[in-house]
Amino acid sequence: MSPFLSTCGCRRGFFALRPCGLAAMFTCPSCARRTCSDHWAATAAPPRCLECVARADEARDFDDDGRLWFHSYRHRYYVNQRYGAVSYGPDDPYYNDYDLRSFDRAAWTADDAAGLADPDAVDFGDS
Amino acid sequence: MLTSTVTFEHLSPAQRQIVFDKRFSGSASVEELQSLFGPLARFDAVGDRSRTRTMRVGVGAAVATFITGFICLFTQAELVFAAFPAGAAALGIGAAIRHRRLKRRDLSNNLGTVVVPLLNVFREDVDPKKPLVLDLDLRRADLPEKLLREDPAYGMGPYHKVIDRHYQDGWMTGRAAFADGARLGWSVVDQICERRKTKRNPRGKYKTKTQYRKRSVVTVTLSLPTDAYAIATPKVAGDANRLRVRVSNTGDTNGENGWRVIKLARTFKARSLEPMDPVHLLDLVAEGYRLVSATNSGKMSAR
Repeated sequence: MSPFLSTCGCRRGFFALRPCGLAAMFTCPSCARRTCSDHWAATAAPPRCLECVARADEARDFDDDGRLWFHSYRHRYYVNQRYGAVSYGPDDPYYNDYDLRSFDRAAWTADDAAGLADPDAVDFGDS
Repeated sequence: MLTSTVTFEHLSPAQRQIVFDKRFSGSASVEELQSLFGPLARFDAVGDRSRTRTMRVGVGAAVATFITGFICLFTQAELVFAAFPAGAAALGIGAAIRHRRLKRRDLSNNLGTVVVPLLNVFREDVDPKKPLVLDLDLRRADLPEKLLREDPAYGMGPYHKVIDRHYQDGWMTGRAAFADGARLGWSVVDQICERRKTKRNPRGKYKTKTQYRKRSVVTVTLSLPTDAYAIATPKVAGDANRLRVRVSNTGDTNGENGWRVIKLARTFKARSLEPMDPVHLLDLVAEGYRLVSATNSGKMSAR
């Protein structure tokens, strides 16, 4: 994914992952991915995307509104149960550790990436 | 750790109704269900802790009543010292009343241990435009109306009377539509055997012990659209972990309106009435997804 596209780089889902699709507002200092406010852990030190916080503190049992708990739980589940979720959207090396099963790479590129590349539909992160 | 104490007065009318009925049946978005059940689970956890504390106070008060009463009676203490056993007795009665009131408002721990974490996970997968249908029974599992049968009394070793009671508690069923087009249905039925054993010890006293054995039967039906998923694993027979799998197709399996229906069931045994780990249900859904591979014609709706 282009670093200039201001779409969130995180993936939603547990059994089947899909691109978040929300407008990105932050850049994660750990993984350098653009992140939306839904996937941003503002209270973490330093503030990072939820997925990076969950991977770094995988042994912690979070008690927040459920978002951080979910990402921590998903990370532990994928690692411990060796679950390879079906993954929609373009490949992202960030998820290489999880052994995801890619879905419809060509079709996604044709349909959805075209939509993402529409200059009217996309605003740029540094504008 | 709890960040705030949730009391009964803080609950909404709908939440109070669930506390009284100990049942829920309805459909709503996952976010709505989370905001309904999250505070209830915290309320129940606070209530459980209060009940434990109250019981300790009650037992302590009963012991104090006995000891101070004994001292007053047999030491010919002045009348003013009778205030100690009287006060301890009053404390004990107050604790018993409070314990009873808290017990009336107690919900099954399945809510906080299973339902709330499941909703946290399903929130990410459920199609936000479609409601999640949930049917919960949060009453005790060993209620008379859940009694399936009672075996005739028999003897076993030193126990001259053993009675087995079998309960069936189908406490959760649900349905949800996922963002990838899949439809999920699930149910959890607890089968409980309560064994009451009575024996007479050498001093002639009767002692009764109650033991529980629980089998949780978790059933999942995962329907996947045929245009998005194909069966990848040819072997669909059950494995050694008591997993039962059945795969069938419905509708137009070559077109867009067909479904690959995967039914999975597994039984989990426990030696107490403690709630099961929600990961067992998630594992079953994951097993269903493991059986399929994604095809090139499906399309996921981004949230």
